Formats: sequence, structure tokens, C-alpha cells
Amino acid sequence: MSIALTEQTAELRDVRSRRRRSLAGHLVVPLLLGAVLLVLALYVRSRHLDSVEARRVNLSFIGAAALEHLRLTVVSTILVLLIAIPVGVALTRPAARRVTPPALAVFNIGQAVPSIGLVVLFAVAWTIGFWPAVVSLVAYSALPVLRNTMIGLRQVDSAVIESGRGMGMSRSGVLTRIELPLAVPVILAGVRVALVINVGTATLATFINAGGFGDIINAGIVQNRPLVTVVGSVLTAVLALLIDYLASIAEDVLRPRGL
Amino acid sequence: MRHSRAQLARFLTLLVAAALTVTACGGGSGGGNASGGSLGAVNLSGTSFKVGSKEFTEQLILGQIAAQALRATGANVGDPTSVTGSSNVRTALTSGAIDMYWEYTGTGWTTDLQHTASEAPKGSEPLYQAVAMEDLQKNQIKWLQPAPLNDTYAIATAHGRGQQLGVSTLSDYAKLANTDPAKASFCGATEFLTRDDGWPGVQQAYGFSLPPGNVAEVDTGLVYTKVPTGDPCNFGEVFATDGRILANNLDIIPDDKEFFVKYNVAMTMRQDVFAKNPTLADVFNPISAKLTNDVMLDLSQRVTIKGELPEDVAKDFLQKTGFIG
Repeated sequence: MSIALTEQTAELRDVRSRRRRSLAGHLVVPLLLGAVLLVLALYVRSRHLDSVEARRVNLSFIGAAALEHLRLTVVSTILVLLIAIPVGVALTRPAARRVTPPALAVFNIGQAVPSIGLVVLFAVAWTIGFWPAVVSLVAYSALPVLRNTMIGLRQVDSAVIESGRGMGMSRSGVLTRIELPLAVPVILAGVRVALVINVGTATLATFINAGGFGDIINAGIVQNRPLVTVVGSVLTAVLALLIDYLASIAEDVLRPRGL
Repeated sequence: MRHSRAQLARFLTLLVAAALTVTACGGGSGGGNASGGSLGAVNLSGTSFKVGSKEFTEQLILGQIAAQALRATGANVGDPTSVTGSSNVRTALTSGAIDMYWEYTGTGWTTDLQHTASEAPKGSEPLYQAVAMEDLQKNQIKWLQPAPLNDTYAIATAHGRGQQLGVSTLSDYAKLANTDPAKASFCGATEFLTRDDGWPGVQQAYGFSLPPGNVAEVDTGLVYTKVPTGDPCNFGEVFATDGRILANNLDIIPDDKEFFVKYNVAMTMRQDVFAKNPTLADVFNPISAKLTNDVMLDLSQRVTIKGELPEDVAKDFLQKTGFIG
């Protein structure tokens, strides 16, 4: 826990010292990702695809897989926000001091259990498809958001909180107008981690009929077609970087002025 | 260089075998040690073989059957070596790391001889003849008689559901898929769904096209447990001799157009091993004849579901069929 804390505070300092980027700075990542996709497309075009490869490496299949992958990532991340941020806020309230360790343990277990294990467990005990995949993703990626919410709130200077209270603000007023705005950069850093985790882990959804880029990667593995696996993996990586980039813009916009 | 080393290895093996023969004769043990079993009639005492197998249950059982049968003839055989991956076990055979293993005719055709599945001869016997002849000529690999056991892909459904939906052959299934795709819903693993001789080929051969929304792509193990529930699929891809078919009470739907390539199992060995010990055919051909899909379904579910050991199951099979006492 103390290691995690020091890591997080390092990240916190990093978040604070970062300047807002210029417009040109914003264009670097999309251009780079576009170039990667272009190279990939040219490479695939230069190769003769056999029937097995062509079945998975074609625009309509890739488009459908991309949509499925995005849906898995976005829905699971929204659920993580809805669960982890309120729980994180609750656990930092003085009244919750006793339940904090066991509650954290639950979230720790979520991340400790391998997603592939959860996916299979759900498939056997519950069902297969979109929702079990989403639940596995949520269990796996909730911890970073929860942790960062708690750390973001805890690092708010107690003198600031006390002066707020001294000025006659209620506890909830202090929370919404002082603590949360000051914690936003750290919370968002956690959300970005969760998003990237979700893009990567969503490739496992292929084993339970939930689609996504995993359908492409796995087809390449079981059929011994490295090209297919490379295409699926590069697309997943590009999507992860793109989503992380979009989240960084959101971070810039949402970060309170003056920090 | 490699060639000469292989020759040297072969020479050394011969030398060891000869030495063992001498000692065995000195011992004066006439027949094998299978008192009472029909294999006692074959005498391979003094010889020594290395048996291999692939890594999955059926192969572990077959490897044990081979090893125990050979021991019953007096041959000196260690535990079978299980090798992961079809092409790896084949390399072990050709390089001399093992002397024999059970191979499937379909694998021989596509993997070992590098032909496409769509060109495979139709029917078990023609495919066996083609593979056995070509493999002997090209690679000096001897195929003994094939078993009726055909571990091919198959499409299965829950027991009784075929009757209920009017599906008793794959042709009936094609009709159902064209008229009522929701009822023909299908589960398959990625490999089957993307192979030319898998799902795309089945649809082409039987003339139907199930909408992607009615096809669920799942891990192989899930097919066996999801088909009985009917959610998300009424039908699914299975391996014809997998013990989980019995455990989950599934029925295999007959492939009336014989689309799926046959995967009959047969003992394969290097020609030099066979030439030295032609009586090996007397050991394995009678055993092959007894190996049917029903026999293997039972043996394999005893291992995968009931947790028995492959060696015990193999011994039991050899005793019940009278090969060993």
C-alpha cells in the first residue's frame, strides 16, 4: 500500500506539473496513429491473403470487431466510474474508516483474479456474451479508479478543507466545491489507466462470443496465421492509444484552472 | 552431416536391440508375459520400442494401449512420450526420438503430406490407402491397418432435440438453417469457424448460410456445456470421440454427404522399424479393429469425467478384449 501511495504521489506531481498542450501538440498522436494504420494497411495489401486470413482480415469484419470492442470498453468504463468514484468518496469519509480496509480488499481481489478466469467462471455459472464480459472488465479495472479517487481526495490540504468549513460551508459543500475539484487530475489519471486496461482485456471477450479484436487475434493464433494476429494486435494497440489520447484531452478540459 | 548422424543412431539402436535379443534368448523366455491373452501368441521379446503420443486424452489412452500391448509380447517398452502438437510428434517419429505413434488419416493427408482438405479422397478406406501409399513412398513411414475410430469434426445437438426439430442428418439441418435460422443456432470454436474444412465448408457443401447473429464463437470447452442448455445455441461443433459428448448427453448428427475429412486412427512407424519386426502388424491390426468411436467415447469419458488414469483404462480395454490376460 505504501508503495502504491508513493507511486501515486509521483504521478500526482507529474499530473500537476504538466502544462496544457498547444494545438500542434494535440495533433502529434492522431497523426502518428494514422501513420501506423496506413503502414499496416499497405503491408496487408502487399500480401496475398489465403482464404483463412481473408475471412478475418477484411474491412467489414474489422469494422464490426472495432465497434464491439469499443462498446465493451466504453460500457465497462462507464460502469467503473459509476461504481468506483462514489465508493472512493464514501471510503474517504471519516465515518467509513473501519470499513475501508475490507472494502479495498474486495477491489483488490477483483484485480488479482485473472480476467480470463472470471470470463470462464461466468460462462459456466451464469451465461456468455456481452454482459459477463463487461462484468469481468469492471472487476478488473475498478481498482485504479477507486484508488486514485481516494488518493486524490486525501491529498487535498487539510488546511484548505478547514478554512472551507470555517467559512461556514457544509461537509457536502466542501466535498463538491473544494475536495472533488482538487482531486480531479488524480481521478482522471486513474480513469485513463482503467480505459487502457479495458481495451487490452476486452480481447479476451472472444472466448465467450462477445466479439471484439480478440476474434481476429485468436483466429491468427489457432490457425497459425501470424499476419492475422499482428493485424488484431496492432488494431488493439492503436485503439488503446487513441482512447488514452482522447482521455488526455478530457483531462485538459476538466482540470480546474490554476492547477 | 545430419544424415550420417541419423545412420549412426540407427546403427546404435540396432546394436542395442541385438544385445537385448541375445540376453533375452539367454533368459529363455519363450512367449510374452501375457499369460492368457491373445497377444501371448506374438513374440517380440528382446526388442525395444519407444512409443509416442500427442497430448490429449484420447492419444494418452492410445499410447498406453500400444505400450501395454507391446509389453505383453515381451518387448521392452517404457512409458509413452507425450508430445504437444501434431507436427512435433511427427518430427519425433521421423527423427527417431520415438519409434511409433497413433496418427489420424486426415492429419496425415493435411499436415504430414501437406495436401488441402478439399482434395482429400472421400471415405475412410480411400483416404487411408492414399495416405499410407504416399507416406511410405515419400517419407518411409508405414501405416498399419486403420481403426473404425474416426475422430473427425462433427455437429452435435442435445439428446432428443434433433428429433424434435426434425433434424436427423446434416441435410435436414441445412433445411432448418434456411427456413428457421434461430432454431438452427450454432456454437463453434474459432478454429472450426475459420477453417476451410470447417464451418465455411459445411455451409457450402450443404447449401445453407446461417446469419452471423445465429453463430456464437466460443471456447471449445463451452460448446459441450452450452448446447444442452439451448442458450445461445441448439447445435455445436464437437470432436466425434470426445468423452464430453457422453457426459453432456449429446447426439451427433450424421454427416450424410460425407463432407468432413475422415480422421481414422492407425499406428504409424518408420519403415525400418517395421521391416525389422513385421509381427508388429499382428499386434496392432487386431487392436485397431476393436477401436470404434463408441469404445473411445467410453474410455475417454472415464478419464476426463470420472478421473481414471489413462494406463488403467487402457489395461482394462486390453483385458476385456482378450488381448492380455
